[in-house]
Amino acid sequence: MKGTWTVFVKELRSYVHSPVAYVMAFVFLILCGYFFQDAMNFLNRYTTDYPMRYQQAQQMRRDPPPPPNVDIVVIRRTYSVMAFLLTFIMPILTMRLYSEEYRNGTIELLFTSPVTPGQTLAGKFLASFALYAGILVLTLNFVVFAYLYAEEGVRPDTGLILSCYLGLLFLGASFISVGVFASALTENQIVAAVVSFSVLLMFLVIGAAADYVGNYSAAEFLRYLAVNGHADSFLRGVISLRDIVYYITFIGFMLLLTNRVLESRRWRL
Amino acid sequence: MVRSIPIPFIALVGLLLAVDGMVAWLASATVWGWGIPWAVGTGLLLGAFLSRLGIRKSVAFAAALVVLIALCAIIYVKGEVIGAFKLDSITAILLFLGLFVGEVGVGIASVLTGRASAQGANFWVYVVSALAIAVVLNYLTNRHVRTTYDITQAQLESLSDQTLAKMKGLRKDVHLFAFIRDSDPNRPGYAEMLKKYAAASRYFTFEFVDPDKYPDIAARENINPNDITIIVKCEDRRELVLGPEERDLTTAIIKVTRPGQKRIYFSMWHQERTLEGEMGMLANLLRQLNYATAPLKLIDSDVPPDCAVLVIPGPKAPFAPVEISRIERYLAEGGSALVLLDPDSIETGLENVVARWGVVVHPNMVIERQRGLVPYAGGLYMGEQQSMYARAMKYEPSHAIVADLESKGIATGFYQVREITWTGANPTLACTGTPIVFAGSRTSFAITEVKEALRNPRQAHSAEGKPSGPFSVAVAATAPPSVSTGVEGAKTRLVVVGDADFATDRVVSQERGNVDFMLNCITWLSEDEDLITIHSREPGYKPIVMTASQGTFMFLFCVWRYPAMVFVAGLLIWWYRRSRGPGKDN
Repeated sequence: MKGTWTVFVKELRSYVHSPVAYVMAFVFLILCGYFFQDAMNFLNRYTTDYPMRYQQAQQMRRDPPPPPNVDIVVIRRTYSVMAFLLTFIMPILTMRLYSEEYRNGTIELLFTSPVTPGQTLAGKFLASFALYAGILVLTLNFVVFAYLYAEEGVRPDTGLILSCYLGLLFLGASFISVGVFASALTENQIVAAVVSFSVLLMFLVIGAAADYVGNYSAAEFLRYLAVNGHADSFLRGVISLRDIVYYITFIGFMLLLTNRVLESRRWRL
Repeated sequence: MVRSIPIPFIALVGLLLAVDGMVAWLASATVWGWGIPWAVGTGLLLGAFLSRLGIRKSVAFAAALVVLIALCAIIYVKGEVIGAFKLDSITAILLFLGLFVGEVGVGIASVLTGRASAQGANFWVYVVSALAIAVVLNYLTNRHVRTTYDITQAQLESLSDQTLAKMKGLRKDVHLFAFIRDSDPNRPGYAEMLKKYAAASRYFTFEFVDPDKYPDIAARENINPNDITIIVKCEDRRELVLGPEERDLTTAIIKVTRPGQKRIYFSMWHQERTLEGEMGMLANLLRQLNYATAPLKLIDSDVPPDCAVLVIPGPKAPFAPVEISRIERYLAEGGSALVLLDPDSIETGLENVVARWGVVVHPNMVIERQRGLVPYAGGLYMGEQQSMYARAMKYEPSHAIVADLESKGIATGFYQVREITWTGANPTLACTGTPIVFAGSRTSFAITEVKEALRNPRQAHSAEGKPSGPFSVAVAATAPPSVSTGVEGAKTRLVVVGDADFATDRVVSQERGNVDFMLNCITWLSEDEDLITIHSREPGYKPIVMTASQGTFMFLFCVWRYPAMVFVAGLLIWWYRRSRGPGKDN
């Protein structure tokens, strides 16, 4: 445990001192901020137009238009975009974890230190996760704005917001586990990022491809495999045990795989 | 570890076969299709496990063979031993897990403690075993655990309270067949909804049938393979689900589990609306709700004892005294009636009948007056228009008939409607009643010159000195039967509406709320409250209101200033470290 903590502190310090984390946080916040304010402005316009649309629908004897709803238009949409952006952000945040150690030759020190590869892996994984959680905390300003500009008594749904953050934490942890694995494969950070990005993209494509598969069981299987798909229920405010089990087993499997890669490298040194 | 590699592989093969058996069983394959792989797989798992316990391999696999033969014999003799199958599949998985802990778990533990290589662990054994356990865990969770928590306030992803109450009360096995092609894009949506139903009651099960793959089943159920068809079955009863909405599915479940068929009589021979004519759509909906409908000539006979609801749909001619007395007797004995009285009808005699239950039928008609976009000469223009069409958006929220219309903000529309009010309790009958629908806007008014207005519909009326809306146009009343019937809990139920047009095809097709209102009246009167229209949860009104300057501030803050602060902080830290040189950060 002590070994894990030592690696965790060291990795977190490296992150804080590295410009990469700030640049990625900057890009992530700009993109999310843009989509958030766009959704807010859209809903603001829709709210203004809504009485007229409603009256028109009544006069035309049509079903009334859907009411303006900050949960659906702003919260769900913004956090869905965030989940999508993670595919591009995470490989860059995790690419250096082991690749840098290989390149600098410090991996030998790690392997010969009293800290086991498993503890090192846990420390690195948790450090990345802590940094990612920190970036997510920075997005709380969206919640503040949504609360500020919502009407009294009809504030955004707290349960939905909590569920969205929980889903993003699980999704991010899964992406980090893929990133750590890719980083353990190569000493080239760019290659690690590309491998990690490719794997994450593959999962995205698998989810999308399910819609084009004729066989229902096969389509369901593909949908189940897709990492992003399991975040959907969280983004709708539903916490499902099957999604949690999926994420835990996915993260566990990827970390075990990484551990085996490290063990294999260790005995080749 | 290395010398025992074949055992985990045997176990893995066993597990795959057992899972294959399970999948085949779920896909409704034959007993041999799922039974054989499952039995072989279980036998292999058992052999692997016994071997792991230290028993000699030959003995272990002999034992496994015996088990295998015994299981095959059970399958052969008993056919689909589903209960035993479930039990033994779980046993097989537990056996594998035990094997995993014993064989591979030790290896994982040694990896975590850094002694893996000393034992010469095999990379692929770990990977495949870890993958297998992940697959098993996910499979078991998907198959047996359907726990979901909708933690939102609006509960948009949950079934409605009415559906959940019905599902909780389910005590008979209900099975649903969804005839949908595998490739149909709507299938995941249906699956998602049906899973919620299955999670709400263990008596509810469902299966998807691709009509292309199983044309025999499609032919047996007499369905069109080109349409999505959903059938609900309970015991020997069968119901067709009419649409993709939650209300359609819940209604079908209620119908299929409800004993008997109730009969609704429609009075005739007084120039009423007819089920075959103007009210065809309503008649069709009633049939779909498992009600039988029949015309009734009150002049010839009493109200039949099997009458669940007597409907009098807009009579234009007066009732004979004998008919009136028959209606009165029916109501006094705890009957239920829906009386629709148009403003243009003459004194039918029913006005006095309903008056005994505290219902007052006014000789007037509501005129709607509104300013806004009005259709004229093919276009829309601003102006004031008087109309005999009054819409209702206000209902009595505590009454079962209209509670849902009120909470969902669903409008109903009435063409030529009269005012119907409730005077209060009648001490002789101990009535309780309430006005339930309020039609017309605040600017609407009621006129008493009904005949002139109907003769000249374009004539403008003066609102001066006339009562203004909204007006009560429907009243619901209940009372204990004044004549003892021997039926415990029997109650007279009466609904009077000041219009009959609202239930005709012409108006129903314009106002979707009218169908709900009419069916809710019938279901309430026939004491089938659980059939009262079910509406799935819908998003509420949660707007965002910003001024232009607030919008600009939010844009600048979210898209630029806030991220820039993070960037500048990073830049400063990087510059600080660079200026201090390497190795000085601690």
